Order: sequence, then C-alpha cells, then structure tokens
Amino acid sequence: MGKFLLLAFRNVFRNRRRTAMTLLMVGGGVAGLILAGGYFAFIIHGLRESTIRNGLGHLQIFTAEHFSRDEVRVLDTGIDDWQHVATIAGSLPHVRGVAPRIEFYGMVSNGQKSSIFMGSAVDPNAEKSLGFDSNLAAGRDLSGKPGKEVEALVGSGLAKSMNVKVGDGLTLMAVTSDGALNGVDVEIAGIVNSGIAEMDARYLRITLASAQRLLQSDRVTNLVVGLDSTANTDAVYSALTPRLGGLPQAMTLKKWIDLATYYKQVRMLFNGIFLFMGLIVFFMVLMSSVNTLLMTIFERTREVGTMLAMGTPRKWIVMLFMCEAALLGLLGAALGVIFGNLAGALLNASGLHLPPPPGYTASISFRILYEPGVMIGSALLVVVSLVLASIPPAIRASRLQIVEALAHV
Amino acid sequence: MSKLFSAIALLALCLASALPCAADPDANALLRQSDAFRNGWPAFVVHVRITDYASGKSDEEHLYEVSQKGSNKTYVQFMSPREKGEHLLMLGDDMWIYLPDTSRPIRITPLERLTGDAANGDVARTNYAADYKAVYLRTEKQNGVECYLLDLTAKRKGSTYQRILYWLRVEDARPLRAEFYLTSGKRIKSATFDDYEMRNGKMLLHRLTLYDEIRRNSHSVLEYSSATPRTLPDKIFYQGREDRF
Amino acid sequence: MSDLVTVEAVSRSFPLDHSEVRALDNASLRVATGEFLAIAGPSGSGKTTLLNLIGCLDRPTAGRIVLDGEDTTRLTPTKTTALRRQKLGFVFQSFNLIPVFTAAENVEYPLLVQGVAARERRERVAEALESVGLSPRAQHRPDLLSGGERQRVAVARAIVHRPALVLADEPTANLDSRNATQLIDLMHGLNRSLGVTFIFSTHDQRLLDRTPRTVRLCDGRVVADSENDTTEGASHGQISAARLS
Repeated sequence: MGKFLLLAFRNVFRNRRRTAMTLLMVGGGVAGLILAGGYFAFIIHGLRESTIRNGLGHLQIFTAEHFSRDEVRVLDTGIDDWQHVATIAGSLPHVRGVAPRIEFYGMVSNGQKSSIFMGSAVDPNAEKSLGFDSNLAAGRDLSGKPGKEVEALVGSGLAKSMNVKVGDGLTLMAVTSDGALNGVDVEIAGIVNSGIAEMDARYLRITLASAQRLLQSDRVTNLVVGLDSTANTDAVYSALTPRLGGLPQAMTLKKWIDLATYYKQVRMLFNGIFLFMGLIVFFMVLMSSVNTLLMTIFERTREVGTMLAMGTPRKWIVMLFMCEAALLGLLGAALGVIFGNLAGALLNASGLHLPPPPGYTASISFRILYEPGVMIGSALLVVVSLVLASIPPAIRASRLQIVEALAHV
Repeated sequence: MSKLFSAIALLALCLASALPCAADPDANALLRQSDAFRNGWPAFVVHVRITDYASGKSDEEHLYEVSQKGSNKTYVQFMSPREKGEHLLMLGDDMWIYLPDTSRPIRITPLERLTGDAANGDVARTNYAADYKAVYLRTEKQNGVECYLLDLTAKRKGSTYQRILYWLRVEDARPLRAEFYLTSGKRIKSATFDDYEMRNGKMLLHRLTLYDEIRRNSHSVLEYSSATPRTLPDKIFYQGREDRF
Repeated sequence: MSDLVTVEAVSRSFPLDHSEVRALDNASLRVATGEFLAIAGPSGSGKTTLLNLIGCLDRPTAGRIVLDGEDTTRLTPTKTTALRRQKLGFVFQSFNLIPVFTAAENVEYPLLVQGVAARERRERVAEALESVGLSPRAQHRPDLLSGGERQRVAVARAIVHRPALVLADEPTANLDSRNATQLIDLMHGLNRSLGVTFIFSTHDQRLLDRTPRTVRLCDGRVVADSENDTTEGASHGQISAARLS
C-alpha cells in the first residue's frame, strides 16, 4: 500500500503546470476562508465583549418565578433579601462584583405631556466597579452618594420628546408593588445614547434606592454578576448553581449567552455568511477539478489499461485516483493555510482601519484572529471537494475495457 | 284590472306599515334628560365609593370626592387613606393626575383605568349630552321595563368612549343600561344603573355597576352618596401646581 | 509435455456499421508448457486478437480457450483478473512502463499486486533485473532509458512473478534490428532457464528464423504451424503450403 501512495504522490507532480494551477486555486480558496473566518471571529469577539460590558455582565441571577409567570404587580417575582444572594455570588473566585437591578415602567411627565418610560434602577457604584459603560451623550452618570434630589439618566429619544436637557426636571409616576400610585420628581443628570432608537425613546435610569422608594419594595429584579474573564463563565456557573440551591426562593442562574439575543443573531448571521462562502469555495473547487481530473485520467488511459492487464483489481484504480485527488487537496490546503496566516499577520501589522462592526461605535483596527478551527475546517472542505470531484472520473477509468485502453494513443 | 288594484292596495299597506306610528322621540333631548340623573345641579359635589370585584369576590375599595362644575370642569379628590393627596383634574378634553410630593401633573386620558373597571372618564365625565350625539334606534324591553335605545356617537376624539348604546326608561329617561364601544367597534364594557334615590330634592343615581367585557370575571360597583349643590370657584380647577386650599 | 494452452475453434467478431469484422475465424492451436513460439502474419491477420484472447484480455465470440487446465471463457471477471495476476506476464509494443516509477519499481509492480512482502519483492526484483542485464540501471526512470533498455525492463516485469505464460505483442516493433534480435534472444534465454512459456507476435522474418515454432495467421485463420530448426544459418524445416509474406 505504501508503494501505491508513493505512486499517487508522484503522479500528482506529473503535469507540473496543471498541478500548480489546481494548487493555486485550492490554496487561494483556503486562504480566503481563513482571512474571512479570522475577520468574522474578530467581529464576533468584539461584539461579545461589548455586549457583556454594556451591562449584560457574565451571569445573571433571577428568581425561578421570573421566568415561569408574568408580574402581576411590579417586583412580585423579584429577589428577596438580595444582599444575601449577592454576598453568596460575590464570594466565589473569578467574580469581580455583583450589581443589583430593578426593571420597571411607568409614566413620565414634563407637566404638559406624558409618556411611558422603561426604567432601570441601578447601584451606580456597583455598575462602575464592573466596568459597565453608560453610553453618556451629555451630562454625567448617576452619582452613588445619597442626595436630596432624585437623579435620572434619560435616553436621547425620551429627552427629545419630553423636551428636556441636563439639569431639567421630570415627574415619574409608577404603580407600587402593592398596587397604589406613587410619584417622584427627578432631575436629569445625563442623557444616554445606546444606538438603538427604540430603546432611547423610552429609557430612564435612576438609582436603586430611588426606585425602591418609588415602588415601595426592598426587592430587586435581578443581580448581574461580572467576572474577571469571559472564559470563566461556565466554571462560575457550575460553582454558583448549587450555592443558590438552599435559598428560600427558587433561583435561576442565566449565562450571558442565554440573554444576549442580539449577539446570538449577529453571530448566526456571520456564521451563515461564512458557511455560504465555504459552499462557494467547495463548489468552485469541485467544478474546476472535475475537468482537470478528467483530462489527467484521459491521458493515462493506456497506463490504466496496462495496470488492469497485469491483474490490478479495478477498485485499486479508483482508490489510486481518489488518493491523488486527496493529496492534491492536502497540498493545496497546506499552501492555503500558510499563505492565509501570512497574509493575516501582514494585515494585522499594517494598522489598517475599517468602519465599525456591529456593537462598536468607533472604528477599530482591522484584525484577523488566529482560528485553528477555521483552518482545519477549510482544509477538510477542499480535500472532500477534490475527492468527490475525482470519484466519477476514477470510476470511469476503472471501468475501461482493457483491449481498448491498450490500443489508446 | 282587479289584479292591478290588489297589487296597489298591497303596496300601500306595506308602505303604511313601514311608516312609524308616531313621530320618533327626540334622542338628544332624551339624552339631556337622562344626564340630569347623574348631574343634579350645575355645580355640585358628590362622594363616590368604588368597590372592585374580581371573580365575584370584593377586592378593593376606593373613595373619591367629585366636584363638578358645568360639563367640562371636574376635580376628583382621592379620599382613601392610601391615596390621600392624589387628585385628578378634567378641563375640557384634558385630564391630569396630581401625585403628592411631585411638582408636575401627569397627563392622562379618560379611558385609562381609575380603579378596577372604572375609567377616569366614568367618574369625571358623566355629561353625555355634551360629549355625544344621540340617535334613536328603537324601543325595547330591558329587564321587563320599556326602554328607548339610543345610539350615542362621540362628538370629539377626546371622549371616553367612541360609541355607547344607552337604554333609557321610557317613563322618565332614567338610564338603566349602557354598553360601551371603542373606535374599533369592540365592546369594552357594559353598565347597569342599579339604584336611584331621592337626594336634596332630586332623583339621582345611587349605584352603578361596570362590567368588564374583555376580562369577563371582574366588575366594579360605584356608589354615589351625599350629592350636594355647591358654589365652586374656578380656582379649584386650576391646572397649575400651586398648593390648594 | 502437457498442453499449457489449448485454443479450440475460436472466433472473434467485432460489429462494424451494419455488418461485422471477423478478426479471428475458427482458429485452433495447442501450446505445450515451456514452448517458445511466434505468431506471424501481416497486419490485420488477427495476431493481436489471438494474443488478447489467450491473455484473457478479451472474450471469444465462439470456441473456447483452456489455459493451464481452466476454461478461461467460463471465468468471471474477478477470476480472470486473478488469473492474469498469477499466471500471465505481458510485454507490449510501446513498452507501457509507468513513467513515475523507476525501473526497479516497474519490475516490482506485479509483485505489489500479488501482495508479496517488501523484502521478498526486493530480492526478486534484483534477480529479475539481473537476468535481463539491467541491474546498474535499476534506479533510473523510463525517460532516462533507451528503447531497448525499456523493453528489457518490461520483460523483467513480465517474468518477475514467475507466470506460466508470457505474451508479447510485437515486442520489437519499436526497436532497431540489433535490439530486436537481442530481445528475442533474451526472451528465448529466459524461456530455457526459467521454463516460462513464451508466445510473441511479429512480422519480422529474421526473428521468425530464430524461433523454434511459428504459427502463421492470415485473415484470422491459422494457415501454417511449423516447427523450425533454429540453429544458426539453417532455416529448413517443414513448411506448410501456403506461406504468405
């Protein structure tokens, strides 16, 4: 068998020019996939980190009830004694901090006009310690110090519709946790811009203490856990889940990936695009190889006839040609991997800048990430494509009539 | 020839039976008459107690003091201990709610919930003749009582409901039943005017029940009491935020 | 000596347009083990067809061929392949060597197909190359060898697996006259030393003079089958009547 592999290998280099063209095409396809895959990986990585940094955190703690039913009253599926739960989470290794949050809604009025707001109440110090960015467009962030005036951040769209700027006041009205109406005046400390118009048109953020006074409740909607690195998410998830077991309320722990719907959609989109590119490369390699392989086999008709005359089983002929195709694919893939990585390294070093990918607001340097999975995958792709392309000609060759084949030119 | 005359006679008979026996009642006049049972004087104060029922069980009770002047100025003070300090103001088509310790009112709409199945407008805008145009439909029995059925259409977009079917007792145009419809044509509520009592010389509505046609198992009972005429100065209906009284 | 090959009334026809061509017509022949014989005749006389049929590369349309006791016309394709692997060796007019293999590797090929172990292969290849006098050229690829050398490699390849029969179709057609006679002498020498039966076709009279037995074909028929005295110079022997050039 080794000799046959050697035969296949030597046959690949029989027609130097034809082999070079095929290797160029295969290598080019692989290199292209590596560059594209590396760039997509970079975008997705950036989006992931920015999603987490924009306030999603790495893990979030809710009550189990939060997912099993809708709120009848605000915070009726909230977390009791949240400080205790936060301490449990905060004590684990790799945990940078725990930030409490309340999600609520109500009406906001500037005296003339009222509108609905979607509110988020936070502990500004906890948010800062986890490195969460507020996306301020004007003014300043909420201060963590207790003060007389209740401060608020409003979304840019809401500020516009309420016709307020930093320093102006608004009145909030909400239904408390026991169903009564309550209201509070707030002063606009800052205006935020998330980039998502629908969100900015309703967004309002106040401190946790203010919300708890407005809603008449000690509870929080959820706790956001920030880690030192995204890679530790699964480990902390496994460590925290049992620790949340013994609490009076049944708790649910969610990983960021379960909550990051936009990220998942974008990732799926890019995966789809990459898959499509892979399919294109696959079919191009296949289509152009079939012709080349047919020519090669045609030229070796007499040789095949001789081998058959000497008693070579027909299956061996098929195997031989498929082997040659596979070797061609492997060689081309190897060249593509080398060239792709080289090109990637050059592009990374060039300092090129591209328009901002989804999730970023500023343009960042163009980077190709090193993705072994992409390299292996695209190598496999072209090898399979070539082998598949070789099957019909190989089978045809194996079915040659010996007498005719020997008489071939 | 006789065939032709029989045909003409038949036609005439049909036409005759199609004609109303008597002239239709003046629907808008009836409406004005019916409003008197809910708005006894040009300016008055009345106490309303609203009890909400969910699935038949009494849920919550709220108390209000309603001061009404004319057909487009209403001031509702929330009297329940938990809601003390809140009040509601209606001026024409506009409505605001005022919460204690806040410096600005919140603008609201008449259709929004006040409590249970009672909308803000159910308590603050009870002058249908001012807000609706009436058309007489027919006379029919409602719970064994002969009633005029009127089809009310809102005159302005700001009315609480866009369309109301109103059953008024033929005897005295006393409202007995109503069905309330949204712009889409969907029936959102129905009401029965259960009880009337004599008060300060006027026969006034004492009890009204509102039924939710969408969430079928809830209703609210509004009990009116202590209706008294009173001179109400305009400054009570001041939209700004200065301290009152 | 027993018969190695028995050709019994074999015919082979090929369809051509609406009629057919009879490449072989009722040919019969017996070859004993260890014989060295030539098939002679002009082009188109059926020499190649006859060799192909004996070599199980083709099937007759009539008649049968017995090779080493087996009726080859009855064998399945798998069995004929195995038969060719074990018992037959071929030498072709155009050498038909694998260009990317060295001389040694080309000679090795029939042993590869048989699955012989590497060590044994090495030994037998060396022996075969030695027997054709090409040991010094063992590592050369065909493109570095002369025509005569290439054909000698082909002969070595044909006998390396000790087949019962070697078939050579016009093996000297692409060689000059000196190489041609040398080749026939080489094959004859191997026939004597190894006991392998050789059948080759040619139309070169000088070669026929050195061959003990000649079977003549004309238009697909066997027209002569004579034994020759191949001692140098002498060419007398019983020659059959019709002798065509």
